[in-house]
Amino acid sequence: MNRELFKETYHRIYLTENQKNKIWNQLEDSAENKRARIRTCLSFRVAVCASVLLLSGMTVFAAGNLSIAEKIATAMDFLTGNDKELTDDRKSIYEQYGNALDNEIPMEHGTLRLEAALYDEHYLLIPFTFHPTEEFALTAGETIENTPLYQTLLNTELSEPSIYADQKKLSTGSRFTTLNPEVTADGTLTGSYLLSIEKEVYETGDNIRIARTETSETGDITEQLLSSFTLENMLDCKSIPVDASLFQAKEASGDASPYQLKGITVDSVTLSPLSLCFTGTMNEEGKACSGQLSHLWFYNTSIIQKDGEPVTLSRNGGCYVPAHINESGDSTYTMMLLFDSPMLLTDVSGIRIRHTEWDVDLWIPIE
Amino acid sequence: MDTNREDKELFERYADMVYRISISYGHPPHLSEDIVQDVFLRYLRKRPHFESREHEKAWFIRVTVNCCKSLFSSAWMRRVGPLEEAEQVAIRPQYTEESELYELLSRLPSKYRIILYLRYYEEYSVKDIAALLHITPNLVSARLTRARKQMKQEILRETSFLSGKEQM
Repeated sequence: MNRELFKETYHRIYLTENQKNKIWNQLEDSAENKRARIRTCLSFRVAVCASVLLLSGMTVFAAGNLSIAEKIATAMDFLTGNDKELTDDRKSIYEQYGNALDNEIPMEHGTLRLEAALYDEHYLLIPFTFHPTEEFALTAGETIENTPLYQTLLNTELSEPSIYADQKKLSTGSRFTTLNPEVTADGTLTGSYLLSIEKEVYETGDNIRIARTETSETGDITEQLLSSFTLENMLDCKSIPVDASLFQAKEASGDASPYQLKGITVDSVTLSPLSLCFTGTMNEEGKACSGQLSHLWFYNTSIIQKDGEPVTLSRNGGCYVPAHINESGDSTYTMMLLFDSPMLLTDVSGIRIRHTEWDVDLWIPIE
Repeated sequence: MDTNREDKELFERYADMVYRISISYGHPPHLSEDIVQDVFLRYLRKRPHFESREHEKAWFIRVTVNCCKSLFSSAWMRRVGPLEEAEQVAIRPQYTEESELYELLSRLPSKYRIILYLRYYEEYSVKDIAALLHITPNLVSARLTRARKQMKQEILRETSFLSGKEQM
């Protein structure tokens, strides 16, 4: 091994000033927490420890006045940026497929209450409320975005949920916490956990467990199991037949465009009232244009309804998970798009992937 | 969780290292950027006390490795940002001997690449690598041997491919 050549090779892998500035700015934004968002990665090497606080059924709080549909809609709208009214169709979906929870988790500054769960094979949304203790009581209507309490809640007490299901080890792709800084009329805070389920599919009857990770001074990541609930309802996903030749057309044409989808397959497309998911494989050639692939999906995919209108995508929650090695040595990828509100599958006409510059125009009809 | 000048200095000191480790694990550049951000977020939240510069560096390597080893390493792709981001490359694009070596390295399993990186770039001893990766020194040595052997095979394969081409 030529050590100098090796060093030179790695010397040439570095972040540009632009990349560094972008990351640093994002870190500073996170420090300021202007938007109450947390991005986390879940370590494979976790040690599950500490106590289990399974508190289903406790009644610390009086029953809320909001219905399960309203609780889910409130959390969903804040997460996705949806400002449309809660229609009967949406309300009906939330009522029919939402899971009512009443898990209460005591924390240093108050009690976290998991209010509901909505699951569709791709995403698990868990709206919550946070009820501060008397010492940290909040005034109705105030906004606490810039207070130390808000920072502490977001960065520590309410951050980094992980999820487990019975008989399964780790089960989530990404996790996303939102916390609305505006205090509600009853002095509580509202927010949600959004977890992308990248690989496994839960079933009704599965016991879902929620945990929180911590990084020690030695760099070890440990988890504390907080609560659990049983999944009783779930949204149905529809598998969409895909004509693989659609995605290979560019390869066959021999087009020299750097954006062609060479080395990439689309193996499955699934659609639920809440989200759209692509999965496939990338060989070495495909991995080289993995970034372009994610841009193609994220920026140029539209779900078209029968009235010709596209479904609005959420401002948060889109997820791209690359690079799991399958049996053939190829990398798999998963791409998920979250809608700003649920829709009826019977209203969908098809999926359009269009990028004029890359000469891509694909139409996948939904029967 | 405020940032200050020391944090910025720490970021300047270790951002490239974290990025290189992530690339060594086979993550694409855009995901490696996310890992850089995640690692420094963990630092800002935890603010661990470091006894020495070595301890500090080891902490960043450990946390980076933990993030990279995640089976579920994933990135929240924000629906914002310029299109040019898609055109990032891991290694700066001049075709040289180093980029050929990089190509060969990228064919190795990530568990070998990280050990090669720590041994030959960061110049850690086998014992230190074992401590950083939470594996035994024997396993580190075995992986180093296998990595070198596999590299050799790749180089031979490449050479015979090129000489075959010349004959044609």
